[in-house]
Amino acid sequence: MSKLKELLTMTFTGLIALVLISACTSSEPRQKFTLRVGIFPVLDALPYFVMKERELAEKYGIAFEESAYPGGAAVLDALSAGKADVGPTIGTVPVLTAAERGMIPDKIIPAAANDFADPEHPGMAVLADNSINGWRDLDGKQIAVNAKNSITAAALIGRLKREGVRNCTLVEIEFPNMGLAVAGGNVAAAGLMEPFLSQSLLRGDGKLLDWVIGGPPFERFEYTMVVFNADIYRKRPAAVKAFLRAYLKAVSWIRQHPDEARLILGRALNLNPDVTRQIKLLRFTSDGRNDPALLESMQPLLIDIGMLKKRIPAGQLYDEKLLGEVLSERR
Amino acid sequence: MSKMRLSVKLPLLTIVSAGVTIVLIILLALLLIRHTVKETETAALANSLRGYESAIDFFLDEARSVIEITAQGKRIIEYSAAFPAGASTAAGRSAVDRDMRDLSQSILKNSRLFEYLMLANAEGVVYMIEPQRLHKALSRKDLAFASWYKKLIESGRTVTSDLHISTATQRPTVVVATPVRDRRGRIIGIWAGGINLTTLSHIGIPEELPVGTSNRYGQVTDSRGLIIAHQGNLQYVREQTDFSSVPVIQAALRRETGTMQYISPIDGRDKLGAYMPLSDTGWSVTYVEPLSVALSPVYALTRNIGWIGALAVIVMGLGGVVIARQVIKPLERLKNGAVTIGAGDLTQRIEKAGTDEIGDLAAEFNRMAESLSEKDLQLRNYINRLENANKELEAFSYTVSHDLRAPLRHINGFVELLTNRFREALPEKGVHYLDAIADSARQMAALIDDLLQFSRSGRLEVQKIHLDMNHLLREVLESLKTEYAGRSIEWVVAKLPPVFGDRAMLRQVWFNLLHNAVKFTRKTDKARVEIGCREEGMELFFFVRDNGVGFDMQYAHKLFGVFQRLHATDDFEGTGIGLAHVRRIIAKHGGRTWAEAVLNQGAVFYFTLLKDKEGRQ
Repeated sequence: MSKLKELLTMTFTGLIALVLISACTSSEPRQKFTLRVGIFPVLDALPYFVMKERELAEKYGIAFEESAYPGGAAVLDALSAGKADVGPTIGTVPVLTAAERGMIPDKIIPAAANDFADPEHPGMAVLADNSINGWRDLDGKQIAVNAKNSITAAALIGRLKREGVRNCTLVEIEFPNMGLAVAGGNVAAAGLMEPFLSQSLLRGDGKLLDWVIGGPPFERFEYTMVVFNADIYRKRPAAVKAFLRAYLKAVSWIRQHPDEARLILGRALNLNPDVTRQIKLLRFTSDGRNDPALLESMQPLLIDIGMLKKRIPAGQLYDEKLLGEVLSERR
Repeated sequence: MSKMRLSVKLPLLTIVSAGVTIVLIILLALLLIRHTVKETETAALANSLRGYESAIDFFLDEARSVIEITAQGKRIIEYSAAFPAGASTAAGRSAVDRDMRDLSQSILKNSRLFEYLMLANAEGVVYMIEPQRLHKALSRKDLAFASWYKKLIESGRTVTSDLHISTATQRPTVVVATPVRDRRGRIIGIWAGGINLTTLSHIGIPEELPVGTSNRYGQVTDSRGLIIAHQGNLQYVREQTDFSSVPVIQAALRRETGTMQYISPIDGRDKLGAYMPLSDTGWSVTYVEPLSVALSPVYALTRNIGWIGALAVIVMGLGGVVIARQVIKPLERLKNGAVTIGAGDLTQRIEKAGTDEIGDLAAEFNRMAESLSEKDLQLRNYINRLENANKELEAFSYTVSHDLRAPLRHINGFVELLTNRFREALPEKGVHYLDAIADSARQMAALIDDLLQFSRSGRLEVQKIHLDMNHLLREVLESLKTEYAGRSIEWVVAKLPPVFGDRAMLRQVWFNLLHNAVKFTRKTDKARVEIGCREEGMELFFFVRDNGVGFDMQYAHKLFGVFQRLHATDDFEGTGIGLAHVRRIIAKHGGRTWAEAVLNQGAVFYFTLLKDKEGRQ
């Protein structure tokens, strides 16, 4: 009887050990919220890539359902149509035009600033064919922009105006194809952002004419914002706050580990390691606060080149209530 | 481990040795399997690559053939002739326009080789493009800037461009272009098609499946390492991702053929790849599989073997318990037998279990017990005889001592009477003789008293209790004060540990030793007596050191004998029983006694006591 008891004890001990081992190896991460993320996979999406790769989203209880779009404006359309919950890389110009169209705060709500450009962190440049030696050489030429209503186009037009070049044709070519378009002679120049700029320069597609964001006409610029679908923002504030917590954590990590952040960007965008090393990062602020003065000062030029009809008060552009609550948790 | 019981140790050893063996075998097997799978997968990749390269080559050949054959057709030649270089409108355009578009649509629809087809004049100006919607999207109608155009005009032959951005679609494209010649062989136009890179990426993938469904994929790059076709990810094609840093691509672009394992700098994954250049295009063709995918059967096998191994270890562990119990049971019987015998029951025997080593051991054990039993019987007989003899001796000695006291009392009595009544009548010499008789009688009485006490102490049982030696020592010193009254003795007494012993007997030991110390320092000017103890193993070493007359060490062996004296009675009184008494008491406590001395300088007397079983003294 005692032998049977001993055998049973050993068997149960073994089984418990097996159950414990399997329980430990298959433990599910804690997830509370699922957010549909509309992503334009460029440099601005770095915090999002960091959130994913460093599992910050899981840590803060978020699961992402990701959809890629060809530009910030397309993500904005998806947000307003309810096809996406959050767009972490929406350009400020699409946000301004959306405000003009009355979409804020009915359809979309920008909840935080994503990144900024300044002369130390330039955001967009003109890549020109090697035969182009100055702005005036672009007169009568074709120039590639990703979209004619984009900030690239706005910055380019503003700069061309300032340089006295008035007879250019803008051709819409996606960012990844611009370098080859310049190299192949399809266009004389292209308004390029990172990492495509570094990629094209390394490949010898053309030369850097000058920065147009982080340089004139937009020396300082609020580049992109984190925008939520309005319903999500109002009805699921806990999910929005969870995202903002993870986002701020990611930004803090990027500021502390810029080189590792470049590597994450390289992996996310399938970049050549040489390109990854050369990428110029934009300025990510640790508190995600918008800069109302900058948002106001950017607008006259946009109105001047016809991208905006009238000035929009910065206070009408965003809602930082939930961001403020998240920031107060840190204190 | 040495403190562990066999019933635990044996199954544990079984589990550990089985576990280690299983793990080693599994590791070795997995290494071999991994190597074989890798070799097989690499060979399979090389085969897939050959097939893939042929398919790509065939696709490009077909594209070239379609372009070249149709360029020699009547409709294209006539249509080109209608758009001579420098002409802005076509003569009779509407007549041939429909035919030309029908032809183009037919090629696009049936071959799926091209994304678009276009006809340009010899100067590179596009005047027909199908699908027609692209005509409006053309960012440049004049293609003379394009490198493929320049190459075509220079060579006068069909050319295949490198990857570039189409002015029609603004997307990456590869153009196959051929000159259109008139009857005299002059170039009158350029007939070109933009290869459908999505179709090219789909080559080698079953029709019903989309790109990216397989973990093994082929990829084609142009001479700069930019992706032209990719079976795994169309985004690489759309973005002409730069793969020039990928080792497998670099090897193919060096026009080498082979296989390798490498880490892709693009996604950081470990991969297996086969590579070769694509005929005469300068492009690379590679076939790749992530190592994790190639080895996934090994990983699955590892998991399964791991579980089976764990199960085997558990089964072996249980088997070990059963076997251990079989082995331990007779050993337990042996141990119990030994315990019983150790407790004194020499009649105990062990039941013999089997004919193995343990059975032999049991038989030997029984033989040993038998022999021990016989010896024990002999020993008991000897002890009985000795005890009887001892008792007789003690009785004799007691009787003698006791019986001697009566005549001695008579002698003393009569000597006293003589002295009191006839002292005056006796001559001086007679008085002296009487005094000598009286002294001898007193001395004999003391001897008899000591002998009686010594004899009694041999019969007394030791009554052990926990004793405070310091307290006992203080009592003895107090009782000795009269012995050294008027003398100056320096007492050095250390703190003594408690002991487990007979209070009266140990008091006697201290009394005898300290009495001796006081006595033998009588003639020393500055007498000093030191009492102390040290601990060594399971024993306590007590000592009494004095700076008295000491003794010659050559007589040390006699010191603890009965009636042994090393000094003259005139110098130091005594019966010579005290130290014998000390030795007997200490021996009854399981201890030892001895002494060290230097003549006229002093002596040290030692005795030991055992600590009790609980570690107390």
